[in-house]
Amino acid sequence: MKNRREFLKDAPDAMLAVLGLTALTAVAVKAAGSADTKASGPMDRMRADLKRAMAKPVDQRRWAMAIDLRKCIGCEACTVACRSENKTGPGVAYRPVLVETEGTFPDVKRTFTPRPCMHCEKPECLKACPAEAIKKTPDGIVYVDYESCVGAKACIPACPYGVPRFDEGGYFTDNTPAVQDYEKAAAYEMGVKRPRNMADKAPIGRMRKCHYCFHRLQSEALPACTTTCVAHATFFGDLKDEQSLIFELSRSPRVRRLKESAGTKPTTFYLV
Amino acid sequence: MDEKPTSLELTRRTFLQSTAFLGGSALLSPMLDKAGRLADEASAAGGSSYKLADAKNYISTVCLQCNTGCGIKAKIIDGVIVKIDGNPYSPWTMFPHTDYKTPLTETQKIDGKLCPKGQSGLQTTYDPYRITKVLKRAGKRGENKWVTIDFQALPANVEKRGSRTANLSRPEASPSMMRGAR
Repeated sequence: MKNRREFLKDAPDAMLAVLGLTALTAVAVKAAGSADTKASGPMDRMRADLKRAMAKPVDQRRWAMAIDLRKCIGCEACTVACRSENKTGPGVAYRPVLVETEGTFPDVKRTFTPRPCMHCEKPECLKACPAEAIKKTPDGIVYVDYESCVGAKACIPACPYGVPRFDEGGYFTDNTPAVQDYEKAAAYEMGVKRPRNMADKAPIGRMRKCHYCFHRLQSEALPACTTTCVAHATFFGDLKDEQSLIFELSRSPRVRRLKESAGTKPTTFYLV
Repeated sequence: MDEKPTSLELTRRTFLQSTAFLGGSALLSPMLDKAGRLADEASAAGGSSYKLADAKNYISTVCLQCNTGCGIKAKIIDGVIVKIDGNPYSPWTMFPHTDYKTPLTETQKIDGKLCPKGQSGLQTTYDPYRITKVLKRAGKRGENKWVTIDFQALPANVEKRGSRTANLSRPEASPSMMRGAR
């Protein structure tokens, strides 16, 4: 008697169809091959874009983020992921979600606008800082240099988007039986490991803001908000790469930027 | 200038002397190209300074913030979970999920998706009001009197505890209470 494998191999297709088995081999081949076939979703594509971008010289790439407002459900996973990743304490959130409600019941509408840093081409925060503590990387990331920041807070009124926030210290688990260790754990912002455990040491007492997860990009990982966005509403990549998803999105007629009249030329854009 | 600073010897005097001589420029120039240096340092380290993108530093587990049970990565530094992200091998967090044959060296930098409840799992795991010691009742039920017992003594205490039915007025009404009753 032949074994089952031989039996199935020799069976005519009609019979296999009856048994519902025709698709089996096709699926098996597809699953095995999926590791090396082309990107099968936006996350795969963005990871491939990121890999290519990191292989380029730093001044030949330009990071940008896009947020699709039709997809955003206002869950704030991005807000929490960013706070968890960067260990921001009470009062600081790099990526809050602005919620607007229009109309009165029953004709109500609610929109959600996640608001990371715009990483402007002409950043007002950089101009306003008296300590010249806000700098821009060659690939377009506007960041705060914690070594130079003196907490002057001039960037707060300067930014048209309300992005920079001052870290006053304190923990969410203050006034509970014990402040928990994860709150004091280090973040790796701008590639520097910094625990948040002493009142006078950075990042406490400094201005803080989104830096497109620079430290994750160095490890070829997408920003925390981008990876966690459940609704697939956040996109990230190299604008100078015409094969990238972000470049494709930037050509969409749905593109809008926030407060374009402010003249800051924000890099982060929205799809409305 | 009595002392010449050597590369190994740096006293306050030699430090002040050298900066006076150089006009402070030695201090300024590192800061001026900090941006370029940051990028160089981080990429020279191969991103290894960022410990959370290293497979050695996470455990694969399941989020229990809701009944879905998404597979997650709990990223751990010095014995403390510092970040939770979706595990790309789980189809709940990445669809299509990362092929199981994909080596960890590649997936360590891939994070799956995770909802805000999952992302805030740190607050649940490390709830400051969580019970951290074994409590054994030291009074009547409802009196809220407890003693702390050693964790090692727990199995013996559970096994040799008193009668389940001693405090009940009508234990025979419940077959499950009577099963194995002492």
